Amino acid sequence: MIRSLTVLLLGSAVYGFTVGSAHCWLYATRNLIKLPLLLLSTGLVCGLAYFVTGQFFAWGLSFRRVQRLTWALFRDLSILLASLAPANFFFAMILVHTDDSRLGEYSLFLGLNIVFVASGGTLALLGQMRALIRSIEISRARASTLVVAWLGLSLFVGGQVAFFMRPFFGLPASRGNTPPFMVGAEADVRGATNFYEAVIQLFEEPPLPRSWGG
Amino acid sequence: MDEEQSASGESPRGSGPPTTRSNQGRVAIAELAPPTAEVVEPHGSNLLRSVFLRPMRMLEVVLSEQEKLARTIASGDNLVILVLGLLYATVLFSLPFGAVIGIERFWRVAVLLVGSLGICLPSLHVFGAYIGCRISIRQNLALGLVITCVAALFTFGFFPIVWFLDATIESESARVSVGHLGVVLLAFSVVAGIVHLIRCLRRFHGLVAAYPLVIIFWQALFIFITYRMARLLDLLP
Repeated sequence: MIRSLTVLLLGSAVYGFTVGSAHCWLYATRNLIKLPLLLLSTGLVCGLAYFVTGQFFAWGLSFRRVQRLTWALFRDLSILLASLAPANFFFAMILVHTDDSRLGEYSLFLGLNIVFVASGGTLALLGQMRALIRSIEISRARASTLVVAWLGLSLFVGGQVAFFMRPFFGLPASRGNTPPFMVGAEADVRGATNFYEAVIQLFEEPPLPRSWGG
Repeated sequence: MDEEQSASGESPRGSGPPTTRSNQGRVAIAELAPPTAEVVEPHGSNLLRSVFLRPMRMLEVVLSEQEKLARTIASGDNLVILVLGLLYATVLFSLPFGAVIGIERFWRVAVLLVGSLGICLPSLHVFGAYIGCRISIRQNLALGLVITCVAALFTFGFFPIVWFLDATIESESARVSVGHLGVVLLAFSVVAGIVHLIRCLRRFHGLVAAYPLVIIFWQALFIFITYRMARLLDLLP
């Protein structure tokens, strides 16, 4: 368990560093702590819910077993993301040296990282699903439902943790600023004060403020 | 095997269908139990009693051992202890969720679940009896409490999440408040309870053909009453 946790912390720290390095060294060094903290907080807050859903979908899973499986999921994700860190860092360095210090290729970098997290997450999910099927007598359909339920819980909570801990990326235009370590519940550029409002805004697409070219 | 089980005439595991007492409605389902190759024994009284001291065991009783739970309700053995245990767990496990959404009225979620069931239970029993289901009021109460107990267990699982959201969201200015998210999680918990009841009912074979229709109707009523009760208790933002 301790080994898994160490791997999780190291892997996510390395990946977090590369994410922040596309903006500046301040963001990069802060992300060394923030990304592991993001995964840890999500895992801790969801721990009990993981267990209850585990009992609901796959009886016979002890609390310890559920925690092991879910932390293994985060650990696998961290390892997969860490393996993508060199590529991410390489691309981040290109962006830092070639962007126009306004928007640059921020959207591309953001999109690329979403693809990285999504592919790493899917692979980790499949891996843990297989582990679940091996460890207890459970059908493939039930195992996948359980793992998807865990993913849903993680997204529900992790999204808000990430929103609260932002910024992780940062627009090139904001280079030189020193934002607080975590922005917390302060409204974002479009006025969302939490993750769920930000998700709604993805569909409503409210205009940006004038100062941002809206 | 428990002594009480032997006393009730329950046959040993795998040795044939259970003996039933025809003068009591509560054993009617046992007559209709599935002719499975392996007859699952009901929960023993020791396990059910231990729930009062170790409430987390309710997860085992309700969620992990569906077949045994269904069997316990069907046979009527230890039904009173089961009902009391389910009620106890419903109240106990729903209190933390209630406390994090408003410490001054921490009892609201427990009242929501138990109150809604109390209001809807007579209709389940009467409608069931009307279509010819010989299920006793205790058995119906146990079936209803499966919903509330599973919902309470889920709210217990979700209370750290609601606490976290409450700590990180400023509800005064937010369009999506902790109240909204709490309702989503509460609704999910109730739905999980209903799904679990359906899963348990699937273990009862040979029920009157119209019984699933009654259950569907009753669950719709239960959801509606729960919704109105939630409004009454000021649980909806």
